[in-house]
Formats: sequence, structure tokens, C-alpha cells
Amino acid sequence: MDSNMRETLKQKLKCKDEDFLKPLPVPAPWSKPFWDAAKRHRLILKKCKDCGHIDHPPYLYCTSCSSENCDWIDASGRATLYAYAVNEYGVPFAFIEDLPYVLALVDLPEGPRMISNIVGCDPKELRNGMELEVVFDDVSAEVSLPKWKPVLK
Amino acid sequence: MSKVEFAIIGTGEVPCGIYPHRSEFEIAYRVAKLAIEDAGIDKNEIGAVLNAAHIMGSEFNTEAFFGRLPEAVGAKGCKIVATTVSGGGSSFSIRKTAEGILHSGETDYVLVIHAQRFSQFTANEQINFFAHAGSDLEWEVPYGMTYNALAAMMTQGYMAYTGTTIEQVASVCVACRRWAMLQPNAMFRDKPLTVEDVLKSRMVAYPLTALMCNVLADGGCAYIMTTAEKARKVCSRPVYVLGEASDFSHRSIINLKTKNIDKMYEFYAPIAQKAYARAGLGPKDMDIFEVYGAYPVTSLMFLDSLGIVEPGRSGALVESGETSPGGKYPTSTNGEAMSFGHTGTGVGFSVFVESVRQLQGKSGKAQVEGARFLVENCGGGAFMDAHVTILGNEIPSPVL
Repeated sequence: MDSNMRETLKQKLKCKDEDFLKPLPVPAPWSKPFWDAAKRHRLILKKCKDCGHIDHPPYLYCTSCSSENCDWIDASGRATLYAYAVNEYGVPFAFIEDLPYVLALVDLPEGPRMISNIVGCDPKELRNGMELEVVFDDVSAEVSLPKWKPVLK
Repeated sequence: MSKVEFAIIGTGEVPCGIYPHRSEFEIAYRVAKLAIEDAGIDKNEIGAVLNAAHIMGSEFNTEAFFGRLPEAVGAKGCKIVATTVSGGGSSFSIRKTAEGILHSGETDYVLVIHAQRFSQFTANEQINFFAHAGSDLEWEVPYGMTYNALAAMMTQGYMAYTGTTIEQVASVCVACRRWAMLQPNAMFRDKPLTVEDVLKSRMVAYPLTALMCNVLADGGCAYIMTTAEKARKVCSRPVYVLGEASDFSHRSIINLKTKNIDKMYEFYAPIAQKAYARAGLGPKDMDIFEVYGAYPVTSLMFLDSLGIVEPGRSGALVESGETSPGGKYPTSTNGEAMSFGHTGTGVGFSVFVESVRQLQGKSGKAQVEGARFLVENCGGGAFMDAHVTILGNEIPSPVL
């Protein structure tokens, strides 16, 4: 972020330097494999070996049958855009320099829905139901966030 | 039809708005006194004092946890103190707590208090808090998720899949403002609003403009609840809890039970139907629709579910003016979060207290003449749950 803009905000809104740090996921023991895989630019999902249910977000045990006998499967990396919003104002300071940015509900063919950003696309081009593919944003040395971009036809 | 067991006999409320010098303690003490006076009971007969947590946490919560409220209010006969919170559904979960206490026979009177002062927090603190309230810290907040963005996604999906127009969405804000202008305690009671004003205001999270987003404010209210039996003896116009029903869907919006944003009625309508059935009444019997939406799209989703309009057509209903003052379906008569002001867990409380006032004939300029029965709803988190209540100032026959 532009340092002048940050100083102005700090004075005007009495915020601190740490307010500009982007919040990063802090994995739980049961979600760590997901983030470890994302770091390697792989999208994986937790699937129950007993009943076949896929949980996203993953929990300690299967939310369908309570089994702890679970596997991680590779997702196809494809999804469709269900609904979206374009943040333009009133976001946490850490995201001000990203404005405008797109938040979306994306539906994976494997079943789960995710909240993520749509990148690499003018928000005006977004259409409900459009096809997306996963991309990975290396937001820190430790964390990569799966995001989505429209599939070019 | 369920047995009618509980009633509300008095309410108290302070103006909602930005009042940084009025502490949440002052709000709580004031609304409690007003409610006790309105109910006309002896404060020392109150056996339980319940309050909803002050959202974002504060000294107030700690004090409430450890008994400050009954002491300050002078409820000398208090036996039970508790804080209940389930986000925007708090007004319901606290009422269930009150019902349990009354049902136990420990006391005949429960005082329920809500107080909130958002103005003590900076804008960034509020934005961050609500981002976390509506979104998952691990899976959503790292993407820059905000509460407004959540409501915006729901609005975008609802419009895309039902054909509702942005003008119809804006008309919900206009209807709320018309009601708020009749309410002395509403935050936005002075300035009329048009659809054009709403659409021209600053874009916050497309498709939501600033005037489609509620404003966090300071305020509070209280009420006295008792048994239906006691209420008949001590109150000339008690408001009876005739039927209630609830359901829970999810924490994160990605796990929405119905999947389809345009079909939220598949989740909400069965709750409403159960509440109607328990009251022995139907949508046609309702004189008022006290909808708590907090955002226009949620109001439309609830109106889709209450049995008065074909699902997906609520936008046209609101646009027609029928939910505004003088309309056939008076809706959200205090102006709700969008024009009354958003007091955290308190929006549901203010809607509930207004529901009681309407049925007691105490709503002043906003009074719906001759109102006997109404339907009220609340819910919290990221559309996590929904609770529907049918209230009445009479018990429909057959009398139980």
C-alpha cells in the first residue's frame, strides 16, 4: 500500500500498523492437510472412507456419519460461479489496496461450495454459472490461497 | 395448536442512534425501569433478570455475567441471572430461556434487557468484527470477506435467480424509512428516502449501495415476561406468545441447507408454517408482518416464506407499497435495522418490542389500527438460523 495513504488512514481513523496485516488462515489439526496441499498448488478435499461424504470445511470427523476414517482426494480444480459480490468500500484496512475485488460462492463438481475471490477478470464480465478454474495466490511464504478465474473459451 | 403459556406485559426502549456519552449501563438501567413502569408491576417481584450479550465484548458483559443488572435495577427478589446470546437470534434464544424459567415455577416475572453501544468502537473495529461474525476466520476472512459482501452475494444471487430488480430491492429500504419516520426512537426518523436516493448512494459491495446496508448504532430495550395466567390478572392488554418455531442451517454460508439462494423459502416457510399451526392461525389472520431482515434481501426472503405472496415475488409486493404504512401488509413497522438502526443482537429485540407495542396499541403514529395477531422473525450469523413467532393480544378460539 502507498505509504502516504496508510499514514493518512492511521491519522484519520486512529488505526495501527498491524491493522494493515492481511489475516491468514490458522489451520486446525484437521484442516492442515488442505493448506499444506494448497502451498504445493493442489486443491484437495476431505472425503469419508466409510460413507463417501465430502466435508468442506473439513472437521475433526465426518459431519455425515461421525467416522474418523477419512481420506484426502484431489479436486478437479474446476467450479462454476454461483453468486458474487464486488467489494468497493468499507473493507478491513488490509484489503483497501485490493479494491475493488470480487467475492464469490463457487460450486465444485465434487459437491462442496466455497467462498473465494474471482481473479483475472473484469467484474463486469462475471456471469452466474460461468466456468472457473482454480489458481493459487502465494500470499505469504507459508500460505497459498486457492482462488478462481474464468475458463477462457 | 399449542397451549398458550406465556405473555409479555410491558416494554421499554430508548432512542436508537449515535449517543457516545450514553453508556450501555445507562441504557440497560433506563430501559429496565421503563419496562417495569409500563408493566405496572413491583420491581421486587422480578425473579429473573436476563440480558443479551453486548456484541464485540466489553466490561458490560463481565458486569452482566456477575450480577450488575439486578443490583442496579433494584430487583430485590431476583433469584436467577443469565446472559444469553446467539447473534441476531438472541431475542429468540433469550425468550426461550425466559420461558424455561417461568415454566419451572421459580418466578412469575422475568425481566429481559438488551443494551448496545457501538459508538465506542472505531469503524475498522466494527468492520473487522462483523467480517468475523458473518464469515469464517480460516476459510473466508483471508479473502477479504465482509458482512456487507455476504449480504451482497445473497442479493446478487437472489436477483439473478428470481428476476427481482435492484429497484425492488431498494424499495425495501424506502418502506423501512416510511415506517421509521413514524417512530420517535428510530435513528433515521427525519429524512425521507426514495428509490433513486438508495440507488445513487455510494456502492459498497456490488450490488449493495450504502443505503441498502444497515448502520451500527447505540440503543436498547427491555420487556417483562410472565405466564399467560398471571398476565390476565395483572395486565389489561397482555400480548400472548401463541406459536413459535425454529430451525438451524449452518455456520458458514457455503453450507446453506437449501443451496439455492432464490429458494430460501424452502428453509424459512416450514418454520413459519409450524409457528402458524401451533398458534392455530394462518397468514390471512396476520395484521402485521414484523420482519427482521437487516438487509433488504433477507426481508424479501422472509416475505417469500410467510404465505402472503408467491416466492420470488416479494420485491414486487414491496415495490407496490403494500408493506408500507397504510398498505395491506404492514411490514417491519419500526423501520428495522435499515432505518431504526442496527444494535447488534438488539435488532431482533427492537422488532420484538415493537411487535408487543403494536398489539398493546402503544405504537403511536405507526400504530396499525385494530391489530390482533402478527408474525415476527429473527435469526443470526450468516443466515445461520431462523425463528418465527406468532403473537396476539387475544387467544384465538378454541380457547385452551
